[in-house]
Amino acid sequence: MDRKFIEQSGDITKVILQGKLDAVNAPLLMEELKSLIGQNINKIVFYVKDLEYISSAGLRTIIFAKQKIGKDTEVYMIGAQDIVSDVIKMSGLDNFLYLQESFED
Amino acid sequence: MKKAKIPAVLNKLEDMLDFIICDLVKVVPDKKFVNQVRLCCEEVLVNIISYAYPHGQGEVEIIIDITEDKGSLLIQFIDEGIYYNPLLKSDPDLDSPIEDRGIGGLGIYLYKTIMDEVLYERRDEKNVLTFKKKFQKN
Repeated sequence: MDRKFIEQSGDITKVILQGKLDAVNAPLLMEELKSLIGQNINKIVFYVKDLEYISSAGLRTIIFAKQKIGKDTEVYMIGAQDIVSDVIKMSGLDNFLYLQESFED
Repeated sequence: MKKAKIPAVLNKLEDMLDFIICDLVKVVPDKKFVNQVRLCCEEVLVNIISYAYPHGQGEVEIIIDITEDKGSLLIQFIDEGIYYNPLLKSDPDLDSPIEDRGIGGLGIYLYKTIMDEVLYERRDEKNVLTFKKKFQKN
């Protein structure tokens, strides 16, 4: 499968997002995330520095990453702008993922 | 005030949002405010696109009214689809463990949180959802 969002780097799974994550493109990301099920993924790191907008369709992909990819999968979100982190916090998702400025392996 | 009737299909979503946002950005310089409005509108429109017309295609009418001197924004979404009052849906439990988290209701919760007022009305076999929000004047 040709991946648009996801890059594997050692045992870190990177998801690079930019522009908008909305009802139009979130289903594409969801398809890519589904391909990770059962792959023993320990850490999923969303790089969102250049993400300017996220809607609930986008939030659902993040909930999916935490719920369905692996029981102990840790989810990180790196470099979120206020516009994105505000929505994450409003939805209570900040309790389940690590919102960080940078990611040190 | 301006209004548009647009086919309720996903590939028109960007057009619908642009229609709403294009005037707002001229009046409100706060990018965060504009983005939050966009988010709220997307949530409503995606629901209408996905569920309002289960037996065929329909339209959504969008009315936007920006009163600059009062710093007030009104947006209305009108569809002729099946009866649906989103305000009757219960809020998601934000404190529940993520494993138990349903995926429904989050969008409605977000626009109820962001908007100052959200009103629903069933009028002439139509669903009418109204958003109201104040903004800082330019």
